[in-house]
Amino acid sequence: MDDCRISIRDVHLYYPSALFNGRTLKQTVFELLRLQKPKPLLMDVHALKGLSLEISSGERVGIIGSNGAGKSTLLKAISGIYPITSGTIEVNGTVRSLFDLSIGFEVDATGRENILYRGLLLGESPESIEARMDDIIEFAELGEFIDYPIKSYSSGMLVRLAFSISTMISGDILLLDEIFGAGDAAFMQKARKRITDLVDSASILVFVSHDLSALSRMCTRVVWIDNGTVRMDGLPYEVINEYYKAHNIPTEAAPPQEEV
Amino acid sequence: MKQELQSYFSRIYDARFFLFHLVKWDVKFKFRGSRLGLLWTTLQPLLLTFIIATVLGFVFKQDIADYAPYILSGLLVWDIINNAIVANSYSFLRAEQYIRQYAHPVVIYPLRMALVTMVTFAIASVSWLIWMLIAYPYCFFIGIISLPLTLFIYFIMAWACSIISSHLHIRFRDYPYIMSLIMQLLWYFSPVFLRKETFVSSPLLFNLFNFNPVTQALNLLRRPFFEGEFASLLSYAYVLCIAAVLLIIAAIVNRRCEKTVIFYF
Repeated sequence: MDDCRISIRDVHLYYPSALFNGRTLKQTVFELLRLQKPKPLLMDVHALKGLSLEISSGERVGIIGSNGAGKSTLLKAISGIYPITSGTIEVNGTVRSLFDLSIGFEVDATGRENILYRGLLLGESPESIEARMDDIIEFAELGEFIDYPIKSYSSGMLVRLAFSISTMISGDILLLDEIFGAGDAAFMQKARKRITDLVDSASILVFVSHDLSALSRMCTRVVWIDNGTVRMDGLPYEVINEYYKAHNIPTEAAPPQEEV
Repeated sequence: MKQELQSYFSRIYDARFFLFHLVKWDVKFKFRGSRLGLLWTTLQPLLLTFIIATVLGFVFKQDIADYAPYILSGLLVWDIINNAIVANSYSFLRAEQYIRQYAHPVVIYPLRMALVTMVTFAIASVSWLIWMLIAYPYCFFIGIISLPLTLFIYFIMAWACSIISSHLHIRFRDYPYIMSLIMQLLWYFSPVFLRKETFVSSPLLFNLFNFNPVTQALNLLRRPFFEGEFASLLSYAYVLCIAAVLLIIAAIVNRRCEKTVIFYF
């Protein structure tokens, strides 16, 4: 899809304080009777603060920033999982997001049933999942365990299955959030190849990671998010070098190579 | 507005495979680990009917053969109402792992629970329908003709109540406990197992009985099957109005609160 784009304009996103300010009936009664000090009310968390970003077809954008800067929040806002408080996010193209792969499993269901579950959750039809079933099972290297309930799986098997299912469907816009580091060394190699294929087939990649060398390898542009806003947006080596300087890290990112 | 509504329903339609899979899974594994499995869906109300009919038939001096199918029909419909208001309020909480991963319209999760409720009702009703065919064969034809509209109204009410209860529950975690008590109270003002004659002793009680939506909802099912005629137009109008009002409230609540059904952490 050539006219793929993501247009983010002046986006604010708050985590409602009601999430943290919940109180029990006992607390309420005791506070009313002045038997205990009132619990201080926490304010809404302002996660994205007027963030604007334009991403066009063909771009591979890396997102960097400290923990809690708003990187993952931004990805989830783009995918529509987190509703924004104000501003606009326009997305043109089908979005495929790879966030926390390990959640969303039915532990009592077999591996095979979970493939169907996850595929349907991602908007696929039963026929299209059935057509890819063998490939997914083969990629996950689960053998006969595919017909066992997944509560009997080791964590490594679960990760392989999760990765295999989640990466089976490509999209115009690929959103990745720190999914590397899954499985053993041999599987990691295979997983990297799969991710590369997914990235190649997508029109837009938005990739959140703390692995700056992976970002400079895979991305054509890097955006540094700091405290919910864009601090710097530019070529990977420029932004990463500035990021290193700001954090007093001596290493410098290399200028762009041919293979980028 | 029309376009927005169209696009919303189109997103629900897009999630249909996932939705029906969840429903199938819920029905299939409701009695997971049990030897009788799905058979409990039919057995449970039947055995409960047997207990209530035996005890109350003795207390109220009722003919058990006539009283038991009356009770069973009451229990089946009561289950829809009670589930929609109490059990289905867990729909968002149960769907947390899906909501965290994919932005389907959240209204599909109360819809999932409402559909499971209706499928359970359909399975559990088989024994009652067979019973009615044997005990009231002359009413059966009218009963069957009246059934699709009655089921449609029940479904609309169940979906609307499930949406409202789910939004309330996610805000007020005490909701199911409080509502369980309120529903217990409503049970005693409803003709689930009590007959109309029980309520005539006081005009106030009789008015409460008549205006109780459960009474009129049950009328839509019982009158055709027990008396061989459709429920009165007034009953249909009353229940349809309640279903419409519930649906409008559900739409407003969902529109205002849908974006707050998020599991951030």
